[in-house]
Amino acid sequence: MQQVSSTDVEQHRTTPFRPAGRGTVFWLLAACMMLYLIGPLVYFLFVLPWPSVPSTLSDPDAVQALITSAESATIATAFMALFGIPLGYVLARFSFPGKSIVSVAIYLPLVFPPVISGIILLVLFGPYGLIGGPLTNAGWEVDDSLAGIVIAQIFVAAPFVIVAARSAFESIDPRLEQVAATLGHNRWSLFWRVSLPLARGGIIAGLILAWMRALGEFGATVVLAYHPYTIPVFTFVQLSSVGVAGALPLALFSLGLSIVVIGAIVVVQRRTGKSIVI
Amino acid sequence: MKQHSFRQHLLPIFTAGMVFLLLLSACGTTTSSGSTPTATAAPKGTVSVAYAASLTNIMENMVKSTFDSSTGYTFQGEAKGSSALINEIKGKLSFPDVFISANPKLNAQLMGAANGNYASWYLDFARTEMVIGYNPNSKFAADFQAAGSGSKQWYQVLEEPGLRLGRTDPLLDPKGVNTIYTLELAEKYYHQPGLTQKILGSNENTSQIFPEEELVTRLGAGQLDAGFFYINEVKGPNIPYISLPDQVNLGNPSMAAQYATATWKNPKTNAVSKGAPVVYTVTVLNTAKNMAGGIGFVKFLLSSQGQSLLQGQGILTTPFTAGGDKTAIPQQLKQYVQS
Repeated sequence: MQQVSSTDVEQHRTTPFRPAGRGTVFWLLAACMMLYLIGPLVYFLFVLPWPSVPSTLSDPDAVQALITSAESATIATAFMALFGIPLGYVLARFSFPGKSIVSVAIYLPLVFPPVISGIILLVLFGPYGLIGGPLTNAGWEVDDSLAGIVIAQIFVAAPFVIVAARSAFESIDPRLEQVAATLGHNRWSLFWRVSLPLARGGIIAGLILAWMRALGEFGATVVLAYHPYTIPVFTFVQLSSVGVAGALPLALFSLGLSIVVIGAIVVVQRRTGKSIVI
Repeated sequence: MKQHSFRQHLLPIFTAGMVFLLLLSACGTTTSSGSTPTATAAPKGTVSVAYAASLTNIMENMVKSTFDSSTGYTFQGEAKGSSALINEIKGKLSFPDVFISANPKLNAQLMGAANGNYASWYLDFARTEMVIGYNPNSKFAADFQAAGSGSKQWYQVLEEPGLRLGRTDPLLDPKGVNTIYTLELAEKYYHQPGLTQKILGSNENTSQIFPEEELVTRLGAGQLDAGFFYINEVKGPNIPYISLPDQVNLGNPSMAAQYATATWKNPKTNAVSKGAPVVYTVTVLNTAKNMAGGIGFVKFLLSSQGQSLLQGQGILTTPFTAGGDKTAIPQQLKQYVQS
């Protein structure tokens, strides 16, 4: 066995190197996974009742639901970035009592049945809730409003941002930050000029995941904010009132919105030459 | 070190999860070993029942256990608004053996070749009435109590400023429409022109409308002051309620003609429908996978055992009259049908 030195590894990063074998096993397993994910999406296009697509998508209620969904998911993602990235940073860089409890707790919204999440949020933010009560008295009702949707979305999607940010900060070589600190950067400028740029890829991947999760969120939203309709809630309403033909086309809105956003990211990536995630 | 960060996160979570599950399963073992088996009949397979969501408490907490232990079948329920269930059946998203509707007229949407011939007949098997359920911790609770004892009118309480009223979506389930009929009838009965609009705002007032599955949850979570319910929805869970006079509660079949004076126009289809007594119907679908089990379930519902279970929860009795093609009613059920 040959010893592999660190300089060898460095070289392999820059010079192309092909291991023996074609990777057939990887291709086979990967193909199964791709088929499993893409197959239903393609089949969706076949079962879609195309004649009812234009009328369903031009329904003002549907268009309003699309706007509400895009708005709420984007606002929710902004909040998750503002508060979630710092939480990921704190978990990656500081140690404090109870850290392991916090580390586990941030995953819990993912395993909570969404309806239960909705009920807990309702008891907190509802018109007679602990937080919602005083807000309502002050004239700002959060349930059954855009704010209610955003609250539900943040609760279920924020773990994606926090976990991604934490992993991204942790994967930064600590020596880089140490060097920067010796050059006179304080904690704040270290974060802005060194850590955040280096962790950017992972964080953006987390934000995109969170945005998409927020866009598809149904279970907690339908309890906390049945109105105004988001795409998932409106889909449920259409399924109940009109049937499958009135509900399926709405998924095109979600698909379209996601494709536009991912497309925009790819374009930005190509223009700036910076690889982000996709 | 970098490569291990992911594993470092997962290990404590995994360990915590395993410990939690072990504890749970330990609890489960002790309780299950302590209970005695109640099933007396031999197991016979699953009966899938799609039912109007206003029966959820009765079906899941009363009918299920008694039906299972007395017949040997396994009850599998799906609760949704009656119209939603019809759309699921016709959209081939749901394949129940038995369908229970909270509005006899809806059965027609499953009948005939144009509708896929899912059903041929149905039987009225129970009846209910509209009531106002209220939150005992609400600041309006004393007013509702006064209305219950007759020293105040219920509609005056509902008109009080700041009161949060909940009802279901008239576009999604019959109770939402029945709520509108009830208020229209009250408007005439109490000679209060404009009452419906005063209390409901508009028929589609989004601040009052919740999906049927969520309305009880909202009241239970203390986030509503009152809501329009069927009596069986509030009696079982011990939610305090105010009974309404027969002239407005849609619960008295002999007042059908009077109820029919209330109307509602569907804003999506422009179809106009008329008020009618709230009657639950049951049918075994022609597409049932377990036909014998489905018939067995209907038999149980119509039996004195089934009927007394329902009545214990506030459900009212009704003659078992048939609708649709009466000749298609299974032989085993014909003895129950009243003409």
